[in-house]
Amino acid sequence: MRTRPAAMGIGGLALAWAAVAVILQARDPLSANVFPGPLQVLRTAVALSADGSLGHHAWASFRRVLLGYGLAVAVGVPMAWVAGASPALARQVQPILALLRPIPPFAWIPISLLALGIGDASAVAIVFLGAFFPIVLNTFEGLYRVDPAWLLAARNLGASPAQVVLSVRLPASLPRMLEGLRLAWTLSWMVVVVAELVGSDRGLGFLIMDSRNLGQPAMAVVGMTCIGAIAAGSEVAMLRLERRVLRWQP
Amino acid sequence: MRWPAWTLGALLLVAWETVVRLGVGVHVLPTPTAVLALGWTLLLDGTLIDHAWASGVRIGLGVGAAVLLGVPMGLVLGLSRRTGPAVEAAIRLLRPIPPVAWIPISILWFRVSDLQQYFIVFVGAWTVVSLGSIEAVRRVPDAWVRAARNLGASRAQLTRHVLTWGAGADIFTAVRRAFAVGWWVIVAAEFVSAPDGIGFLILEGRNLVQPERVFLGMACLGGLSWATDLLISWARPESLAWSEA
Repeated sequence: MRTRPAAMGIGGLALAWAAVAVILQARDPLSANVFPGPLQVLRTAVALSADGSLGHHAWASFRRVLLGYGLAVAVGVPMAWVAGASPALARQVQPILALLRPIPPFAWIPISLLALGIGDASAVAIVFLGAFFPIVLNTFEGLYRVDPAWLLAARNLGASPAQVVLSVRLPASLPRMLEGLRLAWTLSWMVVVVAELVGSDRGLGFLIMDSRNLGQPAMAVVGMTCIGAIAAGSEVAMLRLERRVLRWQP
Repeated sequence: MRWPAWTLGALLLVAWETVVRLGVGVHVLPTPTAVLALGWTLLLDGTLIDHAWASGVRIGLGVGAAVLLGVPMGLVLGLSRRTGPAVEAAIRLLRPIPPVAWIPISILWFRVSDLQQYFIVFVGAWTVVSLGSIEAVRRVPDAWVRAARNLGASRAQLTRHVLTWGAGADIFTAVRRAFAVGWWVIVAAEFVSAPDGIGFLILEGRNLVQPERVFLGMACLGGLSWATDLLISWARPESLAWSEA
């Protein structure tokens, strides 16, 4: 019975959207240039997918996210492991991370644009920076906040320092790390959109900005829906994977 | 001997300063002292305060509206068995669209204006607050709600005496998150279209190739976002402390 209210809510939202569009267009035929109706958006979506431009932009964004995020995982996770595994180093790294934490990920965009100019390289770098901090912060926190009783127990049972890290710290930090990886992935999509809004010649962020310049809001709605669908779909996939890996958790 | 916890940070700062002084990446990296110097100058001539104030007003109004609308909505929807899940499904459908993706179309709707900036902050904060409140209400033990109903509490009494306290702590967390999201989103909104604000300051630094301006803006953002968080924690009513354990 859970699906019925959900279907009603989504149907109601679509109906309300259509109703507002119809009323606005009855009062002023030009309002379609500001507030597109569902049918108009659907037609635009079909046209954009037929001529391949939607796929072209989506692929451009996807590639940037994949490269930047992959790089952030490859660099961030080992870095956090090195910093978090040794208590002496962790004590030094913690205040630095605490200072960097509140800086919004989008704030790194201008620096990348300064360093690399407008283009694929800077977009990838921006995604990298946006994803890097949540990955490092969460992986590090996970390692750092392992229940001290577990560590003491392991040591009491004669585990060597290496064994404590490999058999206690790493597995115990896994939930937090995976959470960070998922957060970073959704964040990467937000960051790539902003990067493409500010300076780019393709990608979904560019598409929605371009549609504003062309005065075609239906195109913007198609782009927004596409971003939302990719973000939601990949988040669900990651959550599933996470549950699978963490089956041992209560 | 134990090194104090700031040793590595200080060493990195010194290394950063020397490397840039030696001429590495001058167009991208400012020296920390240059950032401090610029910060001092802009603080004295009032620019920094003007920009911070502009962003702060946008956050305050945008998130404020989201809280005023989202919390009562969450309380009502969380209680209702029929309309609640339906409206929640609609909100969840909209949630994956990043608030920043609303920027272009909101410029079409509201032109380049302060209202457009409030709208972007509002969109980002409102989903967090409303979904957070709905979930908070659901987490209130059913026994409390039923006990109150059994004792003849009206819906208004139930909301006032049971839900606001039972769900209060979680709602407060949602509000805190909403402010953090607000600070994220406002930077992006100000990058694209704003005549002032910290996001504008940062982008201006990029356009003028003044990396120290960019870094100053980033530091300000971090500081402001941190200060907002601290302020909210202070504002948290003492009466919510019971759920801390």
